[in-house]
Amino acid sequence: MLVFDLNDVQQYVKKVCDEIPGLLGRHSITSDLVAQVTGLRADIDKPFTVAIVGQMRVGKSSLINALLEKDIAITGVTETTATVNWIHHGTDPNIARVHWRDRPPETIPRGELDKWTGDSELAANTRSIELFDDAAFLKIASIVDTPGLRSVIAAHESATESFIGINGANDKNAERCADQTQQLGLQADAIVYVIMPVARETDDQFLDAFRNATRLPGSSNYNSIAVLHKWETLNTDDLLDERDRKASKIAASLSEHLATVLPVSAPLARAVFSLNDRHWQTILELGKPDNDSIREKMLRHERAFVRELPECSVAVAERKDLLLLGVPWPSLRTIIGIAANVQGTSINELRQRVRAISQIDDLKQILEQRFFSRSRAIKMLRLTTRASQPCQLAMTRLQNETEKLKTNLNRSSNVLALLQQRIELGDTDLQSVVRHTQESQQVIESQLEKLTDTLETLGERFETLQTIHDGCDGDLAGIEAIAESQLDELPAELRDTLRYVFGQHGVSVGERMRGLHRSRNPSEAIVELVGTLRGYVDKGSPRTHHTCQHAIDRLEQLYHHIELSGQREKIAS
Amino acid sequence: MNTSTTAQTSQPDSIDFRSVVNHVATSLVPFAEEYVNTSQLDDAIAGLKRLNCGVFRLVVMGEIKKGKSSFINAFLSEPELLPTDSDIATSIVFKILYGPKKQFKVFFFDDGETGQPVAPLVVQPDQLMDYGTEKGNPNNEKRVDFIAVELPNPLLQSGLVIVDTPGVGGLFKAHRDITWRFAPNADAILFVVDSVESVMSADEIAFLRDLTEKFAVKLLFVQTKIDAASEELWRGWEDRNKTILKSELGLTDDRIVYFPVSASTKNFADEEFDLEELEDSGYPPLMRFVAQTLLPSKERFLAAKAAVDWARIASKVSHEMDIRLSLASETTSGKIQEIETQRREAISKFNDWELNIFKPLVASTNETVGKISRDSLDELESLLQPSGNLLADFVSAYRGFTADEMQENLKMIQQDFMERCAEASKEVFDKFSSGFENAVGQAQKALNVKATGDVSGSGSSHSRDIQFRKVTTLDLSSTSVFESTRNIAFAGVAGYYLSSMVISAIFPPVGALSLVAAAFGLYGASETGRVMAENRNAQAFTKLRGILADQLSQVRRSVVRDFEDRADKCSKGLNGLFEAATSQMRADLQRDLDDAKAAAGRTHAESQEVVAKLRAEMMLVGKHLTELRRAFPTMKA
Ligand SMILES: Nc1nc2c(ncn2[C@@H]2O[C@H](COP(=O)(O)OP(=O)(O)OP(=O)(O)O)[C@@H](O)[C@H]2O)c(=O)[nH]1
Ligand SMILES: Nc1nc2c(ncn2[C@@H]2O[C@H](COP(=O)(O)OP(=O)(O)OP(=O)(O)O)[C@@H](O)[C@H]2O)c(=O)[nH]1
Ligand SMILES: [Mg+2]
Ligand SMILES: [Mg+2]
Repeated sequence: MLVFDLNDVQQYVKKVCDEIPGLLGRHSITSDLVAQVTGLRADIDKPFTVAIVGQMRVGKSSLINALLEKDIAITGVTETTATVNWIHHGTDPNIARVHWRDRPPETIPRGELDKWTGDSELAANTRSIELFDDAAFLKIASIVDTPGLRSVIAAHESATESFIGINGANDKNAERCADQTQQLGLQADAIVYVIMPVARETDDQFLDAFRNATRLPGSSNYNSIAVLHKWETLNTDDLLDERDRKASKIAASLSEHLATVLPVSAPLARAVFSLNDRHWQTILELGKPDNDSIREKMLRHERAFVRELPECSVAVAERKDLLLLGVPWPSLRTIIGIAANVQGTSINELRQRVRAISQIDDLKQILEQRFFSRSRAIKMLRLTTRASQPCQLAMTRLQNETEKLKTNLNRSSNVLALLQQRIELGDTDLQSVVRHTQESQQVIESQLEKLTDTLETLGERFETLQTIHDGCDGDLAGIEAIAESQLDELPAELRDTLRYVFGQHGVSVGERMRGLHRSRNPSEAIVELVGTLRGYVDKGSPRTHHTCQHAIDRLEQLYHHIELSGQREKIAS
Repeated sequence: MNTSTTAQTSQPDSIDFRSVVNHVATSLVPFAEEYVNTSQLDDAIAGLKRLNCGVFRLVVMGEIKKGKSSFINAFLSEPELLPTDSDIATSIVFKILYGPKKQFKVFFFDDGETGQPVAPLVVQPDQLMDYGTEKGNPNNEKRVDFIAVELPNPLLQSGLVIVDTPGVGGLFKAHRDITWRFAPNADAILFVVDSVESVMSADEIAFLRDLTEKFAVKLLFVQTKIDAASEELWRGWEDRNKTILKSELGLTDDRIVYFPVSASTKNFADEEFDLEELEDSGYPPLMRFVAQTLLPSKERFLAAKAAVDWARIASKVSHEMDIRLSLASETTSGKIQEIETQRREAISKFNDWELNIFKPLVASTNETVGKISRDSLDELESLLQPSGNLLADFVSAYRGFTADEMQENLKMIQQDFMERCAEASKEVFDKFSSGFENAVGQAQKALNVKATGDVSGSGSSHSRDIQFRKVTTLDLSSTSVFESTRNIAFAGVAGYYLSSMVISAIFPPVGALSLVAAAFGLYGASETGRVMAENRNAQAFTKLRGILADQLSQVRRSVVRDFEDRADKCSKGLNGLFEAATSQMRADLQRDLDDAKAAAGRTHAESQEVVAKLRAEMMLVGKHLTELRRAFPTMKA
């Protein structure tokens, strides 16, 4: 059945997207909903899109640069990113393509982009900007840098919100966004929400709005993760423990919205590739025990760091050099702190250590595991959500209309009966009225027929979309549960099989079936597997119960699919 | 440090305003007791007390985790005083004030069930967490009102009270309300931003805008944690924040008082007596500003107000002494007899005037005022009548909406409606207060016209004229009197009446009303399939009107009650004023007569003595008056 193979599903969604505008356009009461699905069709073939979102100054652009190991996104001291900036796979990092609001796109040298930052006129006139880099992961997913939330430059927040597809999460720019959203609409498949160590009310509001825009009620949170950033500014001695505590705390308070919260440091990661050996040597030197007594004093603040200190084995000039590298002061302080903790190592080991603490590689891995490898399922989740919302609304309206017409029909039948009586009593003038009423009745009846027809088709589409949505949601939950070791009650072999079934290693029928016993006839293998799973459904944790139940549903779909294609083959031969 | 304090030219305080006023007042009191009526004297003494207790409330506000509590601790050189944490910490208001020994006292709300007051509790420093933080006292389950921290710190000795408040913008929404409640009590608000999280945000600006629109309060800005940023960055943020304040709040350069500081660096400096660190911490210019400009500015203001009272008393006293003096200078007993007769006549004239002119005037003014308030009350009542136009007009805008739309936006609609009610009632309140002012103004004019005649003395036969007592000198002449009456009545409601008082104090909270909505069954009806949409919409519309009507009658009850209170206060205040004015006049006339009687019984030598004594006293009072005028040159003569 088509709900199982995401290649088929994609075709199906395309078909629905082509068909629905026609269906909705048939009736005046639903024609306004057409606009909601028009952008959707083009969206299906677009690459998977991960948006980096968060409040201003939290380091979103820096984080992107750390991921790409190159300074592609523009960073700055005050509110910087002012436009929605796509980073696509490409070979020329030195150009940028500007999509204007009012004229055709234009290619410019990347170096000119700093005119598009802050409270800029150019930015106000720009819909989005494309940048290019050849990092391998961009082949699977495009990354989008967004303007910071909470800025007093109101256009920043509204640009991000309309890109994400939410209208005024904070009730501010609701109206202004509305029309933009329709054009740009809902382009992010997933977000990395960059957050400071203490969650705010506005974080909660934003994530809530994103969730409502991209997932149907009741589904899980696979399309948003958070990065805890700027944690090195925490004023504490046990920095690493504290950042982890903060991450769990945020994960707990926003658990409805976030699949995971990972502490990362962009400046630390950037330092690894941007500082040269001489710099690292200076840092190692500063971390040496000879400097223990004065290090604490030196690291209190930037001015203290470059004071003349006869006891210090590193000259002022060399210390000043370190400040010129674009590493934020708290990050530099942290790096020197790390050097002091890993005394006696080489500069390469120190680099590795800093890289490990930056957790940039963990972020890449999480992006790969959670987003890139599951991109098809996540994307389907979002597309089905977007397609079903107008369908559902249309169905409600059409149903109400049907009721109304039926009432009218009833009424006119009553009227007709009365008229007939009068005519029988000799009131022949009424013949023409009767004819008129009968004609109207026919019109209503044909209208009713059209309505019922649309309703039936819409209902069928809606139900299928919902099934696809829930299937993808269940798959994602299953993969997640296995990855999080929540299904350790099941034998390892069975878990491996389920990974395949849930589409972790590919979302076509063939790929999903690869986990089944090859030696058997597939139908039998499925029946046997279902039997095994039934054994687990009623014992074990609720998680195990849900996952096994979902696996059984999936396998049943698979079974039907195989049987169906078997029959088709038979018929064909 | 680069701060904008230079703009706040603090004038050199060679004059100690407080002691000038105190000195003058102390010497004037014995005379004032003799010549000035008690209510005027009491007022002046109360003003003096306000000046002398010299409390200045500096309220520290800001978003969560900006470093407010740490800032205060470092300010007071007490790094451990208030609880600080990297997680939401402060959840209760802390008031730090001078006391002979360090002590923490927790004050509670009245008992929730019995309504009885709960005695405050002295706690140890390590128990603070249990009462004043979200961790130890989640959702304020212990019903703490505030925590008073007494500290023998010289910075507080001059009456400075520092108030720490919970941070706004976090996941605990109640904290904002706790903080907000404190704004009206502030003499100045110190708003804390940091150098770590971000430049000023739209939310912070919205908060400040709200604050400045409702309360005319001095604002100071502190950008803390500069140690945790490169100098380039924190200076960049300082500039950006100032630009934001200018463009978003319309503050001008000279009104932006802004200090970049680091609490951490200040603590190190204190610990190690390190002057270089102290400079780097950015605290010295801030502390200078507080001590030399901020605190004295309030003292100067209060002192100037007190000076006006006492100058008025001094003039009155010397005027009365002058009248006495001219009587005492009379030598022939015939003249004295004549004066005595004149003064008797004056009293009877005054009595006539009071009976035939003043009393009727008061009565008619009262009647007018009464009518104005009854009219306003009627107007209010019919305005806020659920069957009236206010509701009908408002609700008709929603006629075309679907049930779903109404349901979704219910809260907003209710809020809108509340504001609409507030606006409409404000118009009535405004009309009332201008009508009231008008009536009093009329009365004043009538007095001036009808009572031109002198009450006392013909003055023709005297070489040194006794100054005449005219009824027009009844202290109704200055417009400030009317203002003060209105102030009694409206307690300074002028500008922010509408937005803050009406909505929060009189109008019921919207949350409560949403429950009404739930009870009406607007929520959760999902039988859309069967019920016809239009029908449902019409039903919803009717329900919406019902809810709003319900809301309106609640509002009406409290607004009307409030209005009655205020109108009552107005007329009481006015009558008090009339009463005070005539009683002063009566006392003065009586004293004149007594003086004349006494003078008749004096020997020549005795008279000489009285004259000498009066001259000396008048000199003294004159000297005091000059002293006041010199200290407060802007004071009107
Ligand atoms: N201390 C510290 N500073 C950081 C970190 N990441 C970035 N910064 C600094 O914070 C500032 C903002 O960085 P950006 O990457 O431009 O931030 P952004 O979130 O893209 O900001 P907008 O585009 O304005 O929304 C820059 O000055 C960075 O040097 C971090 O992890 N720690
Ligand atoms: N580096 C640095 N950190 C500071 C400074 N002042 C405060 N902090 C840190 O900032 C965090 C918050 O400090 P608090 O004083 O609790 O902040 P607050 O604004 O009172 O917080 P709430 O009451 O919860 O709103 C703590 O971890 C402090 O250590 C400073 O000057 N420099
Ligand atoms: Mg940016
Ligand atoms: Mg605090």
